[in-house]
Amino acid sequence: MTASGEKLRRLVVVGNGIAGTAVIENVLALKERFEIVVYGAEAYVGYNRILLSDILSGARELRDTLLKNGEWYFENNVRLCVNNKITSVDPLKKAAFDGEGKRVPYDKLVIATGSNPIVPEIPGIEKKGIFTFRNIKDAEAIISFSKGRHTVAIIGGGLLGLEAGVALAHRGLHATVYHHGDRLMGQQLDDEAGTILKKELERKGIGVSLNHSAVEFIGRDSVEGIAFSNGRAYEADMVVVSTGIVPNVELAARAGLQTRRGIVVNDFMETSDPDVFALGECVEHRGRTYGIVAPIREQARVVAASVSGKKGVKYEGTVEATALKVAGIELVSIGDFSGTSPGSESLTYSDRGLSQYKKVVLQGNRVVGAVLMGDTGDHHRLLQLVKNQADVTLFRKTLLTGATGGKGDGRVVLSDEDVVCGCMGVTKKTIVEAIQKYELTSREEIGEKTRACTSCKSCGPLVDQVLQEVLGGEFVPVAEKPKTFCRCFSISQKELAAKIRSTGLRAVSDVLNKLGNGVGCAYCKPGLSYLLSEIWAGNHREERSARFINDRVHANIQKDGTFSVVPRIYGGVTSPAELRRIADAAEKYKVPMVKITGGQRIDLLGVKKEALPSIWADLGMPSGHAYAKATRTVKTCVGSEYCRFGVQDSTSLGIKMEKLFEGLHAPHKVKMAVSGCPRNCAESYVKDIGLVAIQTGWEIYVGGAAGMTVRKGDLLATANTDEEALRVATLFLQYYREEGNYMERTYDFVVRLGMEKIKRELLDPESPRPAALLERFNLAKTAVAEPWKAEIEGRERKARFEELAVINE
Amino acid sequence: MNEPIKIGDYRQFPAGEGRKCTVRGEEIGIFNLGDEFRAVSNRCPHKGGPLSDGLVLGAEVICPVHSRKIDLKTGSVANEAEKVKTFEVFLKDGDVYLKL
Repeated sequence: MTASGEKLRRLVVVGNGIAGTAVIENVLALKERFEIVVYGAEAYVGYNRILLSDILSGARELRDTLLKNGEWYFENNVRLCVNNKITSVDPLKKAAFDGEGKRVPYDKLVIATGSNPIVPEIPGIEKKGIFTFRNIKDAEAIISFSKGRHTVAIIGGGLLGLEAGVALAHRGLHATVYHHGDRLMGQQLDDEAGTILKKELERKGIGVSLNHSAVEFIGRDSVEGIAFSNGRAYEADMVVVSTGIVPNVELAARAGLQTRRGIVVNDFMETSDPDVFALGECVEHRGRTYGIVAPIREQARVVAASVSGKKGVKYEGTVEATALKVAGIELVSIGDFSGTSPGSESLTYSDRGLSQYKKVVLQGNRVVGAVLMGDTGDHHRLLQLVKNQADVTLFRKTLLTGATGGKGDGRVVLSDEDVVCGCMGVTKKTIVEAIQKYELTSREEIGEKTRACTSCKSCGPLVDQVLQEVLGGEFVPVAEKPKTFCRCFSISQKELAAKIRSTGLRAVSDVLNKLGNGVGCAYCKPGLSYLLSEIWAGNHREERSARFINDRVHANIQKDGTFSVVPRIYGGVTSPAELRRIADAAEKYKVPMVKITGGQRIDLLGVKKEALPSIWADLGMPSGHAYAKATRTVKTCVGSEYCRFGVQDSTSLGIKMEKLFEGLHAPHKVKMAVSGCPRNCAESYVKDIGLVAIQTGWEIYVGGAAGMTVRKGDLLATANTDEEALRVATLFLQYYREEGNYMERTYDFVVRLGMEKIKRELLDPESPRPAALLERFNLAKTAVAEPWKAEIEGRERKARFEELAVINE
Repeated sequence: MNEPIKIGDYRQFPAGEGRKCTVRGEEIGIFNLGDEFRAVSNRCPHKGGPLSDGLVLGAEVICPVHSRKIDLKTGSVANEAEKVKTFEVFLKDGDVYLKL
């Protein structure tokens, strides 16, 4: 129900992949008022399946592939049910049923169930060590099984199979691709391109055996080898089967909707039931099914219009175009590339030595398809020629030599309706309008407003071209422009810091007025507050109005506007007296929830703002800084004092470290831990700064994380004494405080700078850095004041915490 | 009913911040924008976040709970159809008055 009492129509989306998510985005963009519920069979927030091979190779983690984070669903009031599969649909009663048997009524239903891998009926396919490769679970299972194994056989030389082979070779396995046909990637490549690709893969150590059809998987319990129809057999420790995909029509077919190879939809993306829509790899439109991402964007827009009753926008099919990189070679395949249709002619250029190939297929005076390999600079130009069905008589001679390798003009002639970003389905017109309306000047800004160039980023040059067309000489291509602090400034954080030092500015408002746009934003106001306090070591002019509420009242705001209070308990080691004081305060202020935090502290939740100073006074403990971009808690394990396995005194060092770093602000929060042995009970490997005891002293890890991002920290150094360990930790902390971008966590910081550089700067005996860092660290320490104590004693307490007036006359 | 209500001395309103007051059961956020005062219903239409605790940027306030952006002059919420109620507020002889 809305505020006005109107009952919202309910839109149920089945499938939380690229297609389902795209529909929701488009419906939200139309500002249609729906109650949206999305079901995903996998146990994750939707991820970008295209990047699955990067997960398999270890180049990316799951978090880098998420389409949306949890906050997005929350912010947009979209209910997400993960790990829950819609098992049946009753179109007559307009209801779906979920995996728990619950009835889910809908007004409009969208089916985006994607496709399933084809599992061939080959004897022995049930053996251990044989996998399909279609989702995260598959990738995880393959990765974990591959540990300690040496050879992997890939059955199927299509795109996914090759990607799996390359990824596993990257993990150190000896990979061989067995393909039943005589050409790799038959869906995208012709014979010549397939031959070049095969040679290129072999050069990278990946075996390719063509004309090999598997007939049996050999082995007892686990797979040990494969027999082929040509009589040969080869050993393999594991097998990935990638023999194609088939639209997942099961749900639709059982619901009585019309299906053939896919779920049949018309140009409005309607199924045979007018309230049920479908899109993506599960559908069949005008007799065609697709296994690529570009059609999804176009289809999603049509689905959104259709479910909203704005029927009229039509989907008329997509020119098949694939751009990808296999084993380091760029490949593009567009439209009808075979050149074998009657009446077609092919223009080709091939250089096997350079692994370069280019083929343009003509039908009469029009380009109908192309294959590019090695140098794909002409991709967009050719795609547009195919889409526009342009007459190329006049420049047929230059079709092959045209705009390769950045020579010549290389510009693509784009009409308003041409799609610039295929991943997100953004047209030139949308981009031009956004540039003019919001005065955009960079790819990033265009991405923020239109989502163009935010997925695979291959359209970057094209977006630049549109910028160039609109802005003319004012346009500066992205590489030449340094990243500014935020939109309120035209200079970077580094330049800003230098200017602040040289001009002596000490207040956020002065910096904004003299160096920025005078207003500021939600990023730079708190950011400048940090920068100024860091640069002037506390001798800045504090402007409370530039701080987030958390920093104004030294507590963390909760969803209902109350606050949480986390007192400092050094190293997580407390005492009966301290616990009694906390218990007394919790009772006195009727604290609704008392909770142990993840960082081993005690959280008093639900405290009213007015009560904060008095509860702090009653607690008599310093602030735990749980609300701030500052050093947080040092988590510790029991250590050698009591633990049978502890090799060093982790609690003592943890307490020492927490006291040493207490109250220091940083570009973002800094979580720490000290573990008394490599069993890592304090989870030091996943902290911003984590110490792990070894027989001879301590290991210092930095840049670890265990939040939405999970990353094991990098080993910065090994120290023989407590003092040396603290010194290294201090150097890293201060280095991060000085060099980190505001809001940049250490896990991004260490990746951006690289551990080699960090080690060189902090640990090299020749480096001048440590002495200067320690000096400024000590200066910053002297400026630290305990915020709770300062407020309790302060004169402005009333104005800062209490309600101004209650008037009832 | 429509008589202006005296809320308090202007010095109780730090520049660039909001303060909360409750008038006849209605929770209102009063903001000192530096050169003028503005008053709006204090609860964000999204999830009820207390606007008086938000960061003020020019004549806008950012809700501290989920960062909705509210125009303090018109009450409109960026990218939303719903608005927050605005109230007339003025300074007279060093005191801040509110009209309901």
